[in-house]
Amino acid sequence: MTAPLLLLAALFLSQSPDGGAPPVVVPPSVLEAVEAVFPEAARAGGLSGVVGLEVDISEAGAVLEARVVEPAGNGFDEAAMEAIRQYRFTPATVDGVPSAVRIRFDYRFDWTAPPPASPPPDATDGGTSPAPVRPAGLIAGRVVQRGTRTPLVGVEIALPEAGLSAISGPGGRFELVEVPEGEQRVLVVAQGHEPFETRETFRAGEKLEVTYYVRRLAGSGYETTVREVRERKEVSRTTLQVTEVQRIPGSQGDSLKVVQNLPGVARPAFNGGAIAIRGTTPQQSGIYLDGIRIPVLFHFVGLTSVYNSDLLEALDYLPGNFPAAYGNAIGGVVDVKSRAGRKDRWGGTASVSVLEASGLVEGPVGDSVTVALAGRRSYVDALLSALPAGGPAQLSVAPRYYDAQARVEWRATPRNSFSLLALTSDDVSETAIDRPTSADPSFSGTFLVRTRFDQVRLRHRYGGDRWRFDTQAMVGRGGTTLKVGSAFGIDVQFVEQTLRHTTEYALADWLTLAGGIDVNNQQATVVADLREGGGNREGEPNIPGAALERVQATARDFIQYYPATWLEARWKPLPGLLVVPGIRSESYIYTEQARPRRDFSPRIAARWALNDAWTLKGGTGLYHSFPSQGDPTSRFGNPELLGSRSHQSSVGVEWRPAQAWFLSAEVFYNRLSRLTVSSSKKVERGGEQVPERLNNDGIGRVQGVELFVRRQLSDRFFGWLSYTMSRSERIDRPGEQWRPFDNDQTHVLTLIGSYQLPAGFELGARFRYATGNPFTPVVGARRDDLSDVYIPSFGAVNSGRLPAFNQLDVRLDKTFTFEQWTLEAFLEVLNAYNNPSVEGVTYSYDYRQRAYFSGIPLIPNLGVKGRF
Amino acid sequence: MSRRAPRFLATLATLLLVACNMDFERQSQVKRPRVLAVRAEPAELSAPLSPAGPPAALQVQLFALSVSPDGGAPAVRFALCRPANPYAADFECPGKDGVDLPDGRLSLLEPAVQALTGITPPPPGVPLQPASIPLFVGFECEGERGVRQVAFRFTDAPNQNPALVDLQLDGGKLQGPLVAGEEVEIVPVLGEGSRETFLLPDGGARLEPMAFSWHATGEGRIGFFRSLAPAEGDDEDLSSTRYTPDAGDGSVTFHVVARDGRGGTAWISRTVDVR
Repeated sequence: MTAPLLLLAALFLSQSPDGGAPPVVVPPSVLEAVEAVFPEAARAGGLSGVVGLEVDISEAGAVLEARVVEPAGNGFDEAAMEAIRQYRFTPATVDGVPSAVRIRFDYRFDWTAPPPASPPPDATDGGTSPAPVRPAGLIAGRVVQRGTRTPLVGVEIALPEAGLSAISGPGGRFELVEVPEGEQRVLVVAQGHEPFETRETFRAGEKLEVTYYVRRLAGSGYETTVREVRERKEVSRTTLQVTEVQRIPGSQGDSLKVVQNLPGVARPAFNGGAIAIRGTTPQQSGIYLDGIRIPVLFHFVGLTSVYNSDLLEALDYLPGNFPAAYGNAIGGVVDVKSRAGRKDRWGGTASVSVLEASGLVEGPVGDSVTVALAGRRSYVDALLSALPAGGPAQLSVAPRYYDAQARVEWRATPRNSFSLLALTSDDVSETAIDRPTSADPSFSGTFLVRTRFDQVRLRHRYGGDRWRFDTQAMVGRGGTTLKVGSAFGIDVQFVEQTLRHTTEYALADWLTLAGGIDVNNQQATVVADLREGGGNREGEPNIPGAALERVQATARDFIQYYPATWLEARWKPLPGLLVVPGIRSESYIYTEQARPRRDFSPRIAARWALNDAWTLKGGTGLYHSFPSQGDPTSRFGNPELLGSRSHQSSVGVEWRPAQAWFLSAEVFYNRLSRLTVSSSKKVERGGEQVPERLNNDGIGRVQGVELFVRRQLSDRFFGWLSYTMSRSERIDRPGEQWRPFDNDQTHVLTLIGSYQLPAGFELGARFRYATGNPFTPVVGARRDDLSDVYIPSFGAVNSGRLPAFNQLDVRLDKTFTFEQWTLEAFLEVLNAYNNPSVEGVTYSYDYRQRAYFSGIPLIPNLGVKGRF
Repeated sequence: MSRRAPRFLATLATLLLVACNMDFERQSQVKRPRVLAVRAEPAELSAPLSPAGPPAALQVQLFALSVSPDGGAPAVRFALCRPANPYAADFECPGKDGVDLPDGRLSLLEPAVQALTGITPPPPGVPLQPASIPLFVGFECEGERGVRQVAFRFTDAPNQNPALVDLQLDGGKLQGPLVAGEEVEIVPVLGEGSRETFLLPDGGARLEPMAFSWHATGEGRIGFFRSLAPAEGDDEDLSSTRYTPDAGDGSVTFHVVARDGRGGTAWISRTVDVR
């Protein structure tokens, strides 16, 4: 008796477009199964076994090659190989295009006792009468995974007392005929699942329709995770599958926050959402959704992300030396990949936590269209409104945020697909403070923070044998409003359009050419009431607003236009060696600029797979990020600013000692120039002497080593170790000394582990250690009599250092599995041993006394999520 | 421009944390000799726009509200600072970066002042355009330094100092003894005409935004160090503060400073017993 099992991971041999295109991957399924011959010797010995196979399947679904990777002996291996070669599969598809794949396939041999011998003929009739015809029934139905309703293909359904068995086919369907009348024991055996047993009563001539819900064993993962092996052309790319990382402690179930645990990323203050990569500011890195930037990644600067994690497929993290498809960044790149709605059935999620509630509904509409709708809303405002009023601060509009996403995917033909994605996000908080703060009398009145954006994206993808096209158009609008009484106010409203197109052409097996355009246009209106030089830039300590000059200005319909083109070759001169030279041309054009500017960014990366386990990697190139928002305006900055530049270089090695293990070590050096810094000079513009405000005198250097050890989800354990040792420094003006960067953290260590326990429990922990951030010490102060505020004078920039940070977060999940849905509950404890981080230095009103101020204490977080 | 948001919010959070959590000496406490306010009389240097305007004020007298916990008034030294950043760490005024002002008198007619500032008073009768030139006066008291900006304005409506005439306790006269641990409300009383209406650069008119700073000797606790006179059209009076006396204080002296936001300053001091 045999039972073939298609396992979780399908490793795709094909390649797909990159540069931000999340492929739509459909794994193969068994179309025609052939039962292996049970080896006689094993049958005689009453032996069972499981043969692990690796099977290459063609674009047509035929078995090209099979290998035994986990032998079972006793003749099972040969029998399994003989059977698998006769299998037929539905072709796997990537973006709707049939693709060759490699899958892991387990063939199971279960020995069962032969049915009892037929009773001897009745002696009274002399053995001459025919054997009585036993009344027979019929059973038909499906085998699905309990909770997720995922069809289980290749599962054996056995009626041992009747000596009958069947293998489930596509959709988990099976049928058994001529079942003897009466009660029968039914067994369902599926690898990775608990044995399922029940009893059914059969009546002659009747058909029994059933659905069997088989419970998954711990460690098998509820969601099928299909990993496509995309061609690696970046020096360092870490891809996180969302289904793997949603339960990482400390991330509050938010997949995007997990990026903060990867090598090269500095620890964010206050557990916020800042992603500072390789010693650069968060604004100098690119955060993309499907290859197009999103204005805001998190609600309220880090509470939770603005895109529902359940509607994500994966995210790519590229800490440096990223390909020419990405631009306008001198740090790293995070590209979040959204996913289409499920095509097999309607389903979704609903979750509730301390802060918010969210939901997702998805499913097919017809054969070629899928729809997904997701939304989230916080209810902090409702909770706070229930509290009694009091104190100087009154919440006019309590913190409230919401976001929503809708995605429609239409697979027009096997090679063409269209998608429409609409997303919106809105945060608002308004607090009325009727008394000025002691520290700064200008801080009083209404504190308003509002951030919102809406985007609509239309995308077409074509995948042919040699040509691949990916085109996206986006229109969006948004705004940010900050208002602090009469002291500070800024309101930015913008509309933007983006067009992104990628073309790939496979000239030969050893050479693929790719290129594209990447155009972004923004039109903004800015109304501002600022304090000039208030220390809002990197490396500038904050000065009380009372001592600063007030600037009130309005800039209407300010245009910032960023057209870019890029070209790239993927060349394989030797087996295992991939060389990717590329160049990117980027222009930046502003309303008040004297003439348009352009920068060229040549870059090259190489990967050399020495064997299956070892790969060498390296790259070097130029990268630019361009002035944005208020910086290239005459009213708030300098329209003649140049793009900041980074010359990035890195070398490293990767080692895969076993399938589930991965290790990467990398050394990098980034030389920064033309950094935007404050200026107190006067310059001539339009025949007048005007404040320069900003210029490109800043330079920097970032160097470090990164180590990443990862154990992928297999059996029950999942986790990683991430360690970065780095040094990031700046010189703001010629003649000055090197100083540490604001987020310079010499050591950043993250340890993550998650273990699946029996009975649906999962226990995880995250430990982090990071060197404290630099700070600029106050060396004196004098009182400004008109404002009655002490104005500090500072020592050398970032010459102080905060104490190191260490914190443990733990998380316990429990999954309750019902037949058609699951309920997941979690308890997360942030800062489990209550060691509040030091997030900064605070001073008494006259700066004579100082103390560290702390971040979050121990905080528990509870939540539940239902999946149906 | 939204890139300012994270740093700005962090600053805001820091300020609120400072206000809430730290066991620092409070600005409202008089625990050592301090200068709580400096007043110029008249409130600013001025020259009329036309001969028909008010007389020029080319000299001001500076007064300091200098206090110490024992009720003394430590000496204060004034100096006019040279044009530079008066808050810089290496800036010394009084000292190498200023000209001493004996007896606290600042006169634009003094040659030393003219040499330092480069300002020569315009001859009488010369028509002027509205303008304001900031001058910085440094002061020093028992090692602590401060900066007072004094404006030299071309205007026909020079600013006047407000007058702070009384303090009221819970709606009545401020008189002791206060009962330790029992919170009281103290309200400042401004003299008539203290809040002037002035012209904005865009031609609009605005009532002066009067702000009060509250200080007290002893260990008692002032609820709000800063408070505000009600804004135009706002019925809510936010000019008061709350005060809770401490049992250890036999008496407490309140020093209240009113600032009109344009350089005009007034103060009042009152002492009451605590039991």
